[in-house]
Amino acid sequence: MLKVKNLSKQFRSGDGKVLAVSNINMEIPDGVFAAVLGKSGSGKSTLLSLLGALDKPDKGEIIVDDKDITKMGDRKLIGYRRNKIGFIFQNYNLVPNLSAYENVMLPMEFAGIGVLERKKRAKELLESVGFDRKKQCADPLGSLEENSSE
Amino acid sequence: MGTISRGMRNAFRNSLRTLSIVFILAVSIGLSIVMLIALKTVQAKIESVKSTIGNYITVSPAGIRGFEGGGELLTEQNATDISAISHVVKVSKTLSDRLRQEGSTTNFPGNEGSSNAITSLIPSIEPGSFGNRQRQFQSEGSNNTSTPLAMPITITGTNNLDLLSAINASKLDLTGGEKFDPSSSENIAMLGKELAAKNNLSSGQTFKAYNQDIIIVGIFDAGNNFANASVLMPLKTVQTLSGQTDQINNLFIQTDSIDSLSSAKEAIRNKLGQDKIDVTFSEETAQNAISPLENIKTISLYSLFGSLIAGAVIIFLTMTMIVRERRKEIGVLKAIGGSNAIIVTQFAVESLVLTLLSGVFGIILGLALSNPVLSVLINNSASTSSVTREGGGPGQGMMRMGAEFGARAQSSLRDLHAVVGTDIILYGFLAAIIIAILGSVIPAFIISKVRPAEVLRSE
Repeated sequence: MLKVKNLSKQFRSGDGKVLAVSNINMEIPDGVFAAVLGKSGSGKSTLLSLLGALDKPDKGEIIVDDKDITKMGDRKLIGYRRNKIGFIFQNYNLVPNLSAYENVMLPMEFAGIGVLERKKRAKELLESVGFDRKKQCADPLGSLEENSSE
Repeated sequence: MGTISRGMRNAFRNSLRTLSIVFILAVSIGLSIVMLIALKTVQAKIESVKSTIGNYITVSPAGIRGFEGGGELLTEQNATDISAISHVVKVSKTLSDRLRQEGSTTNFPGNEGSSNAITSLIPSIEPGSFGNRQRQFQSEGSNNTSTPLAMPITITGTNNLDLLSAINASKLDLTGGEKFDPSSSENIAMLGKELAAKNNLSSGQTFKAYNQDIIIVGIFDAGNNFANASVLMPLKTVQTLSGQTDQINNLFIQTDSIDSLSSAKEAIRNKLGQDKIDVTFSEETAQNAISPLENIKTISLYSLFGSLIAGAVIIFLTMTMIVRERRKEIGVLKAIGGSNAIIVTQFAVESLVLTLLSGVFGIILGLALSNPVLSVLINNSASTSSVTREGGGPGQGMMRMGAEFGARAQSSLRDLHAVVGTDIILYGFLAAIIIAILGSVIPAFIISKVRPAEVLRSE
């Protein structure tokens, strides 16, 4: 269960301030697929950053499995990002000098999953999106991005 | 792939940049190694000079100058008392006398030697115009100008043939026979080569002195004409033959280091009485000898710190640049669960790989350049030092010892060669690790402050 109460976040922009997220309240039960829709600049990415613990809100609460992540310290937030959240970035944001397999295995490495298991799961995941390993050798990142964007 | 292997791989992410960093850092580490080698070599030399050259004190009766009298001779008891003083490691003793030919007069200022100090030896040094003028000066008011004038022959009794300055020698090379046992009391002697040649004598033959037959055991070359015209005998023999049993002209006291000279000098003066003895010591001369080494040491030390700081600054700027350049990547790593410790470790490994690689080339460079750089430092310091020494002028009397020590130290300075051991290589790698750590501290701080959302938002 994900609960959001009175969530707000504003940024500095030049001399002024921009209110990106204003007093949001919502609940998403377990097992529900939810999408956030809105115009460009309406605060969708900011909201997702807050829910993913990539950023801290100015006020409000984000309760995941009965724990308020806005009150967690850095160490607990790292654990939250490792174990509770999977994040697909708008611009892919892959680590340039790592292969596609290594990029996929990286979050699993941080989560403490063993090497063999990482390799197995990375292979399964990449194959499930039609990733061509032979193509990866010629253009490791292009291939992955191409497959991801399809 | 783990954090460490990722860090190692990142070190070679941009080959041109890696090459540039390694080159600059290798020069810096190489310079550190050169300076470290110079520092260690010079430090070892200073210790050597301190322990072997500068740690002598000369004690003589108050007011005495050569054979010109003054004060009461020292005694064996004095030598025993001094031996008991702390920091004194060896006491060498000499007793000198002057021999004259029967029927001649030396007629020079100072004593005439013992009443029986007659010898069959013909002196090898002619009086010359200076000697004749001295004779004239001595003879005023007396009628003692009819006897033939001859230079006296100096005879020195010693208990230590190794202390060359005590016998006015710069070396003691045998040209015939062998050296005598300085602790002997037999009627044996070594003749200077000029004196032996003048009298056509060689080892195994005898000559007369103090109405006794003296056996020549060896002929020596002492490196100067004055000493080569003299006679060396065991101390006890001279004491017995000259009727000066237990008496001593000079004591040469060796202390355990140059640092204990002052305290030993004061202890000796207190023990024997300040008004009864003259004490001279070689600290100043030794300091003059050590001075160029100290200069090199100072230059090396400052250069060592300078090059280490330069290395740390190079790696600091490099890592700061790399971290700033990869802020987005750091943000992504944090976003997918990478902790500060993991990311800092990854960058620290990258920094360490760069510095260790530079360390290998730096050590090779340092070892190759250590001797040429050391020789440049020595030439500069030695030439500065020699100008200073000329100002002091050549020493006389007791100062001869100091001058000899100084010259020996200068000579040994020219022979200084870089001492390279495995410890230098270990220090080199240690320096590389220290540079890597110092250079990574601030970039690590920057990493810890990166917030993933800020980085991702700015894209």
